Amino acid sequence: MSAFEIEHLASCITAHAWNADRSRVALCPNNNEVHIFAKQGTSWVVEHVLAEHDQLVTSIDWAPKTNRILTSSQDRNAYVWTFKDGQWKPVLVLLRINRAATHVKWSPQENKFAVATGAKLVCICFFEEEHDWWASNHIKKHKSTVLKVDWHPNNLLLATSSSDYKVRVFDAYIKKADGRSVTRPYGEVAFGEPVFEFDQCSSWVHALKWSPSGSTLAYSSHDGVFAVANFSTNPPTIEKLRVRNLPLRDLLYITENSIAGVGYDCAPLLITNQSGWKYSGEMDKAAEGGAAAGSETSARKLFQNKVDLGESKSTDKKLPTVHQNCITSIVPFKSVGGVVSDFSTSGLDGNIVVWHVKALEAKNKFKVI
Amino acid sequence: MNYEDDNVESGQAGKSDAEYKADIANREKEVTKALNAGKPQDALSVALADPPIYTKTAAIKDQNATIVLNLLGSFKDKDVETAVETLNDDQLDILMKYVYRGLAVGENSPIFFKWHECVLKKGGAGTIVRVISEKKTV
Repeated sequence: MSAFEIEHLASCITAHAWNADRSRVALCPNNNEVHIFAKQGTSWVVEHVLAEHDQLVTSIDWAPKTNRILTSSQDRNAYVWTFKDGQWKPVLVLLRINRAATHVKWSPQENKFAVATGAKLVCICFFEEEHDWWASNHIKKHKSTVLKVDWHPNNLLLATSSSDYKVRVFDAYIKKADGRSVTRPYGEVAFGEPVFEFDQCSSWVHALKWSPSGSTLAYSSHDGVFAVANFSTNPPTIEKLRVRNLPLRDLLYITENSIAGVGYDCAPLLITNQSGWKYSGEMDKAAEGGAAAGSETSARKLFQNKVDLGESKSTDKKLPTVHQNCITSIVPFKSVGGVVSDFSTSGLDGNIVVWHVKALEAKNKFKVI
Repeated sequence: MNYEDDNVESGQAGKSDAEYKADIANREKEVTKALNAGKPQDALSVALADPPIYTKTAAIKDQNATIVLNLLGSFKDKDVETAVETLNDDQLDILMKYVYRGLAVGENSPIFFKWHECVLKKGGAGTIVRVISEKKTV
């Protein structure tokens, strides 16, 4: 079995999400539409086009249990799409914001969702039966655009990462959605007050993810910092490490102690916890010597050629990595009980790549723990 | 504007300008002492310790950078690589910031390019990323 499958579905992909049985993938081809691809035989064909947004779609999340698609866009709106009579029907969410919506995420129980925005706030949205629409409560406290959100598996805590260099953890308990019978992990915290605030990063924080058990939270920022907060203590203890090459744009826990990171290096890398989080290896070994080192010498060569030979045409070279440009998103493809056996990545090159962890381990000599 | 620089950077810890000034005077003494004793390696670690990244006063940064850049510029080409080998990740990041500052001045560039090459080899492209993206400049 090959270690990965690659599918070129657009010229650039801003977001992608799979349905529950992985027979369909929703993606945004860098415009205001969301295309739903279905596999027919060996090729992927467009089945539906969701065209309700006016501007670039920034994020897509497909709820596995309730089969609802959530999309956000730079047009300051979010829609919840439900499948009825062979058609996807949008319902507008009342976000009440004046800037772009940047990221969306269903809560694990799918009874509410979070929308990160450029308006320095996060909307926690829930369904109001009496009005038949999605209403939202605002979590402010951010000093700049919120880039990503992620739900703790307990359906209550929400972590946010922002371009004000900080990661915050909130208690996003909503009485109308959660009812009264839930136990809140940090007691009666006022809505919108951060429970924790982490400032290990010195630049905007691109990505954050809770571990499958919710005991740790990993995040990474544009200054090449990767950190993991461990919540077994209060306040949490934090481990920080530097990424050797280019910054990571997104993260995925493969197991409780292994994280795959993707970003500007065009190849996923592995960070594992062996009594301390450490860089473990490239997952796409075609990138031997590092994609960054490669492009650096080729850039030098380009200028050298200009000087020595008077060559001026740019050499359109193929990267040694599978992805041909920055990877912006990584999501689980197959996972059982918090252990991801296959994951998929998408990025600026318009490719969707499905990676098989076991085959990658055998091929590239690293160990997921 | 949605992005407010001062908001983002508010509440930073750091020394006062007076403390930094004392630091710099101290640093100059220590560096000279180590150089006179023929130990440029010791001078380097003194030079890289606790840079004045939190101050907003340009004069303090200038004064501090002059000392460090003079030291970096006084290294011989062949000694640079061994000097870089002994540094830890924190020091590499700080050194790269000084190297870029040195290159910005535009004098004695060959030696700073040598430093750049060696730091990049040891610390990876991440050291450059941090120089570009961090607001805490030397």
